[in-house]
Amino acid sequence: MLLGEDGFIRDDGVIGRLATDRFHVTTTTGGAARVLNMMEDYLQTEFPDLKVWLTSTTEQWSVIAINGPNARNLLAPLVEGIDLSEEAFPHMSVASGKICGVPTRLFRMSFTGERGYEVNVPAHYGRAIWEKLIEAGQHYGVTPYGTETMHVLRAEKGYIIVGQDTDGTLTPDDAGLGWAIGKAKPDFVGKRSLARPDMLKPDRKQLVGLLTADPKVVLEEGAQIVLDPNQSVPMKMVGHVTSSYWSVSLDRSIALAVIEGGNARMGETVHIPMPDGTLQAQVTSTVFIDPENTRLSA
Amino acid sequence: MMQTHHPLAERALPGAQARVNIRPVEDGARFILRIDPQNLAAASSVWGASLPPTIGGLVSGFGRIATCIGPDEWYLIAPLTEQDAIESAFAALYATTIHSLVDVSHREVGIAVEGPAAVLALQASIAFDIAAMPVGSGCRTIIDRVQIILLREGQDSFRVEVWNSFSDHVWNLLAGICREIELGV
Repeated sequence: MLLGEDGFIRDDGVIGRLATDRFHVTTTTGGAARVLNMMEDYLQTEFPDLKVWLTSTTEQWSVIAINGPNARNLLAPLVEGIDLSEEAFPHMSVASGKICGVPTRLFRMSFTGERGYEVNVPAHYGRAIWEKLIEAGQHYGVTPYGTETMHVLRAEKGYIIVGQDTDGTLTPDDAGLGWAIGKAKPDFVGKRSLARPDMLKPDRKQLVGLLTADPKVVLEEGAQIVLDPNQSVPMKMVGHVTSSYWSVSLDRSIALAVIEGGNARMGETVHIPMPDGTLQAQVTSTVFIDPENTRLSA
Repeated sequence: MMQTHHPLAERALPGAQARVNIRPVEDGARFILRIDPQNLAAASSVWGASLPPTIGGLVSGFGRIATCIGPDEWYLIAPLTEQDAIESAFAALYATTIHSLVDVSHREVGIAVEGPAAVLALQASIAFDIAAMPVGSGCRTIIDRVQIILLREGQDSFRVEVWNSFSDHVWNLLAGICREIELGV
């Protein structure tokens, strides 16, 4: 995660370590230029003694995500030079090799919660490799999927989207990502701010899941949340819905929301006033499917 | 080998272009080299030609171009067939001299802008003073809000290096400008 000096989440992404001193950095969608600028800014003004250089490779690579239980089966015959076994290439790995004869940087990572890989090839090969994967995938019933599907799948697993579930005022703890902070690190941008009293208040807005009382109702993103539906207007708003979808897997709606003191409200019912009536939802964990993450290696 | 899909493949201006023409440049190996300027001599030995020490400097020959686009940044272009050898040579250099050599061969595409009105065509959408740009120089600049690297290889010949996703826009922009120039608008 990338924080600002103020301790708030600015971006998130995956970093692959290719060598002791060579890293491949990815960011949230559309964030690469912004993150590069921020790193370059710090490099030039705060850390000029660091011997390191940043080069944008955003358009150097075409990236194809492959997810599902047959992901490895599909890739194995096409990939050379990389041991794809579970021991050699567990979830969250990166390696260089070839796919269909062209260079690849292969990541094992997942934004769907299922076994996932991201195949990076030099950009001008992207189209040909895509077509090859579709052809080879017919055997497994491969299906291209778009951003709407991607959004639903990640929400079912509680994976946030920076800029959708965060709005620049969430700390890692607020978003349930305290585990990503290296507490033993002597310093990082934003560390000092995370210790401010205001950042430690228990009633900060925290990211939680919501399951509507009526499973067929899909909440509207941005809808405000109140604790007492009978209070007079203007009501005290305690949060809002950040992401909301129909989940085919669960055959019901799911939603993510930020609510004051949300983590302490598991199981509580909250209210969402809408123009044609007030809806009810129960506060839950942000992970709706496979909380043990068994599908990552299935 | 897998087929490549080049964003400007087979693009050409229709009809004869006496005053200025644009065409996509053939594929090449491209690198961004970052190295402490104090170590430029070592990098030059590996590259096989003196890398220009001054921002804006450009050295070309044997199908290769090297241009200095920042205090410690060089843009290198070479024939595709030489890519592996260049990467190996710099990898060997790393043992004694740290640097960053990043392959950006597929990151950008080149557009050649050639003809007596080439300066006029480029000046139309670039704020940088094209007429004053020395022959045999290069710079990072902006064409209609798009970041490019502009190389002046001759009095009337330029090369625009632009990232893939911006190349269609820049091509269309330049194509329109070339049309206006041909029509004498």
